[in-house]
Amino acid sequence: MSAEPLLDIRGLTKAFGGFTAVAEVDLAVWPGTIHAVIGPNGAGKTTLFRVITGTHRPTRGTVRFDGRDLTGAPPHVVSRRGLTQSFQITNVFPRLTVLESVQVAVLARHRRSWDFTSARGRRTAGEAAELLDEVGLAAAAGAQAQTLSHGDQRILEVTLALATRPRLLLLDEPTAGMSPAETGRMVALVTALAAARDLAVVLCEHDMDIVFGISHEVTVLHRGRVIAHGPPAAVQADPVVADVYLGGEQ
Amino acid sequence: MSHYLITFLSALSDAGSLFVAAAGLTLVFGALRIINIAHGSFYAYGAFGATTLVGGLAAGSGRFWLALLAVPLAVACLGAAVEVTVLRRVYSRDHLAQLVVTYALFLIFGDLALRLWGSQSRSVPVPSPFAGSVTIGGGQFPEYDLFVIGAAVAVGLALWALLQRTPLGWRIRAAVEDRELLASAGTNVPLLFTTVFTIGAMLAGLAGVLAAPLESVSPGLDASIIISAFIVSVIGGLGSVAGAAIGAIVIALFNTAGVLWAPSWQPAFIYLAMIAVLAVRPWGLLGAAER
Amino acid sequence: MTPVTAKGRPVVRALAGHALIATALIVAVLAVAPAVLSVTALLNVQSAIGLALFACATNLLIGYGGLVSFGQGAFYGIGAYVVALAWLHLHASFWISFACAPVVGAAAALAAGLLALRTRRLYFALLTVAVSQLLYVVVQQLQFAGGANGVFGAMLPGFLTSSDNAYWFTLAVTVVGLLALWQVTRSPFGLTLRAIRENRERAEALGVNVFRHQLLAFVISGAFCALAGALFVVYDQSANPDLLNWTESGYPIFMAVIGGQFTFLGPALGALVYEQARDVLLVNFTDSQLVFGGVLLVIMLAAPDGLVGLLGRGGRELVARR
Repeated sequence: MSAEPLLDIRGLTKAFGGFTAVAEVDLAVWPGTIHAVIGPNGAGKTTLFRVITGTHRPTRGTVRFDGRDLTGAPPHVVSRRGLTQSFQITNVFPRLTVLESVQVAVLARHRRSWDFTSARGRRTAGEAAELLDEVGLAAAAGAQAQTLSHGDQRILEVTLALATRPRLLLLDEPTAGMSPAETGRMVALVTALAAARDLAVVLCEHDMDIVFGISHEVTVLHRGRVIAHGPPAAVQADPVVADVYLGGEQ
Repeated sequence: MSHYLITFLSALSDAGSLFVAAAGLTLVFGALRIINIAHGSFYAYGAFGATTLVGGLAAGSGRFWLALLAVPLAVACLGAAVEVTVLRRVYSRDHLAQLVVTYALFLIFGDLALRLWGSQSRSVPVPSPFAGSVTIGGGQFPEYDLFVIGAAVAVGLALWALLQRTPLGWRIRAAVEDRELLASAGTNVPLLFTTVFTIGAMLAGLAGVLAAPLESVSPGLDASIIISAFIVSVIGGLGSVAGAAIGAIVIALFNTAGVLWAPSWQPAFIYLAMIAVLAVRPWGLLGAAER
Repeated sequence: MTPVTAKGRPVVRALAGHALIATALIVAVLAVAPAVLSVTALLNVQSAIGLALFACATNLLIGYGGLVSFGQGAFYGIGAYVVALAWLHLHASFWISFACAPVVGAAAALAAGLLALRTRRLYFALLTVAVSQLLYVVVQQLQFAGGANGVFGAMLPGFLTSSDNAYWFTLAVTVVGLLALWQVTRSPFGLTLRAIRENRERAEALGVNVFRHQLLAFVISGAFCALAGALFVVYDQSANPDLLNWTESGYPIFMAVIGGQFTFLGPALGALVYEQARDVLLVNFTDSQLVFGGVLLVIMLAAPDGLVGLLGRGGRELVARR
């Protein structure tokens, strides 16, 4: 593990008027690791993600990514630096085929969406096809995105995010609404991606089996503050966490 | 001075019937989120219906009041039929589909109108209680025009009362704000939609009857009124009846300015106004910003 | 679901093969039409061909781009007026002014697009109507543009006074234009445009500059609509304000809808059908608008993919490239 974390958040605070959604949050994520952020509803997870991606500007605190200061940068800058979010609601291109959808993302990354010749299109199709192979959607390449099952659409959604070759991927409830089989596929995919591409993954999840099963580190939020963080076993055993979250709510 | 005033009042009376038509259009858009191009057809049918009912009798003024009552109701029925048979199927479709469908209806109704009423211009005599003119500020102003202004105000107040003081009005305003919430609250949304559309059609028909004595009734009325009604609704804010009133007054002012200063360029002014509003503040003066 | 390999290539080749052959056949048939048809019939087909270009150019915007513009007639009219006015006032060579028409159309579309594309959906449609109507009203006041009557006269060069030559010229320009438009739709730009149509926010999140893409689509559409307008001059030797009216802009939209707005050549089919149907109706009935509206309604409610969709039910894979 390198000395400096890929994502280094210190003292991050976001207040909306009188209401403080996130307060003094520290978070550090290293490449190739999976970091889970958990907490009861309203703990500030979504706000935290929004501040990281630049949708909201932080009130206080810093966000450093890949050695550079990214505090308050707008979303397209954040995305260009290599920090990409995959959305919670299925957010695909309904009538485009699976292959075409990924192609769009690849084209955007190469800044080739202005091309009027189709030669480049074929090259990006190759790259897109490889991605589909990697995530297991190759068989569905010619199907329209809207015909896929919910689980497959979520995987497609993650693939779109992957096509931009991020260094860190933010996943907001990636297995929401999925069957156990689909959940298994997503989990396997995320784990494989983190390992194979040295990709850092920060995910926000309610499914505790996943959280404690695949994460390298867990951060627990409660009312906007970090109440515990560390390896899964330590967090699971932490009485404060059990009291506030695992014991009380479950 | 009187010249300006008379010109303005004349524009205001045109704006009066325009307001009534636009109020129907904007109400339907607000609650149903549909731009109904056939609204122009309803207006034209109102005007043509009046010509039929009042007939060519020189002073059939009794017939005019009958027309004022019966024709809008007939148009309302037509509107209800259209909503139930055709529009219900396109609520879930995209804007283009809705526009094309209402335009198809516009074409159909326009052609039927040619069959029913021919292509000649028709006119409706001014009803006799208002056949004279009134002296205002040194100039003569037709009484009927004043009546139209008064009628428009009355309709405006009635709509205000409907929207603010009745359960139906509450539901309509809720539909404008948030449809899903309304359905979950137990309201029969399809019935509400039919009701709103019917009211809109009735208003268009009423506006047509009111406008009939003001100008000749001829084919092409549907196309010209729908554009003007759009402009008024957009300026005021799609979905807002009060906005339609303001929009109508703004148009009246523009038209006055146009007639007084640059008569041949007058039609251009209102399009400029519409472009300006759409470019700067598309939701108009009183409309809600599109989500 | 059509079987496809990971590369996706074999399927595309197969489709292209069939569609290309079919199109080549159609063009060949059209090319020999002058030998078979009377002058009047030929003129009708010529008009339909020009309208096919107009419809496909409009569909780039509404079908592929998802941008409903009820004002493409403005660019059509501009194209016609460029040729007519250049003849009237500048006595310019027809070929030069013909070539200038799409350029002027593109420039006008750039100006209009910068203004209109800042709004969304319905407001965009209304704004295009407003701009088109403004132009319509203004042109009628301009004396140098011929006022309400427009411009008419013998503005065609000698070569095009022969009806056969005029027909082939129209066919050639349209084929080239359609090929160019087709290439645009197949290109990465076209794919990105469709992605924007499907999910604007997601495309933006991927780093696509949505405004610029839509503006470029608007400019390209405007250019080819103006080219179609210039072809109108070849057909009618006139330019008149009615071309700019919003009702005129409705025609390419209907042709696209009737023919099938989700395929490239659907609008062209719609144009051909519309032209023939209109003539038949005008001869036999007076209610052309009634029938037209009725057909439109039936198609929108029962067959939203248009004629191509109906034809394609059997050979769906051949024509459905969304």
